Amino acid sequence: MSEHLSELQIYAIAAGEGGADDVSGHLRECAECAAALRETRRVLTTVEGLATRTRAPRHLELELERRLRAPDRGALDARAGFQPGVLIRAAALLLIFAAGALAHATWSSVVGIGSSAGEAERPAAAPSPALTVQRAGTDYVASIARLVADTAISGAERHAGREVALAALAGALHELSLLPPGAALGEDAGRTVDRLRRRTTRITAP
Amino acid sequence: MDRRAPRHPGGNIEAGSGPGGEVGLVALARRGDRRAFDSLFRAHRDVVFGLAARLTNDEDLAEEVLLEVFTAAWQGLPTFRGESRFSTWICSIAVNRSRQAVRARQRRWRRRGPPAALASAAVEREAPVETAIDLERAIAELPRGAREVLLLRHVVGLSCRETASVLGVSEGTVKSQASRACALLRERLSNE
Repeated sequence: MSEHLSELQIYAIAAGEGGADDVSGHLRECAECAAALRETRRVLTTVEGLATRTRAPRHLELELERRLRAPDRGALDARAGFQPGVLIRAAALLLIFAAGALAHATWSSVVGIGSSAGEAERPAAAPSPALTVQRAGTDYVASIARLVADTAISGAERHAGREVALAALAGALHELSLLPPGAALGEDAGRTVDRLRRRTTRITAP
Repeated sequence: MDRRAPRHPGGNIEAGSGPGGEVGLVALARRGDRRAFDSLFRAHRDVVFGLAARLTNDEDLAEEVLLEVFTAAWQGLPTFRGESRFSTWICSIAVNRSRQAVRARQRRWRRRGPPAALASAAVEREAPVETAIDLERAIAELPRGAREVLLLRHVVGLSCRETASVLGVSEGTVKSQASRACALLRERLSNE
């Protein structure tokens, strides 16, 4: 064979689809075709390596569950584009809420008053849902504050703490998205948290 | 080096009809077993997300496509007869939904123009190796047909026949597009 191999032949050999025996003599004599085959194999090896380098955001499992539970609410709308301002505001709102819960609980414990306007009307054994959320939020913020302040823990522990904190935040945003009118807000904020998790994992993974 | 047959996608689910095998899970999911379906989702979500992200060049859009794919799969499972592998079927849905998403985005951009903060065409990955970034960008710039074939054959790991089935083309076309993709990538990466 005096002519060069076609791209189809080179690809077929590189992809293991046969044909190598027929042209082995040519490949021994033609440096250009041999180089093209080497390069094609290298490209395919690198391309195939991409399979393990992509991970779907884990919060989507919760979102899928929500859509399968309520299919009429799961219809996708075409997204106009990614608006970082909305996401930042959503994440900030949640943090402000959590901080407010901490401040309110602290003030309540100091002055000895109930933490919910309606609590006096409820039996002591059954706190209101809002109070339950408030207390959980207070504990959540306080635990993160302890994580920040504790200088004795290792980097790995700090990283693990950050991971679970962000996972809890993502879970909370998902649940918040079920409360009107925040569906899109919760979903967008969930993506913000997921990006933050990816970024912090890249920067600080032990 | 003789490249072997493509890998079987499907995460760590065994091919087979036993309780943990993909065939078994699909059979359970078809009867409405959500846990079985959740297992199928976990096994295929990364592959489908990666495929959608590279077909749309937009991770936000790929998230929506992923959800659409598995919502459609759940709803369409009663009609899935098992003539192909579940992964082939799910990739077929993913390719169609990705194409629809891209068309919808193009219509929006024609009406309103692209977003001001539009990033480069290639989706950024966690890619400490520069070669990988170059490759992702090069793949993003491939013609659509060549890109689809390359991703299905050599990233997802479908066979030539399965790829042809997913795309609705002949096996000859698959080989031709794959060879074209490789030639273009070789040329592009050698110019980096």
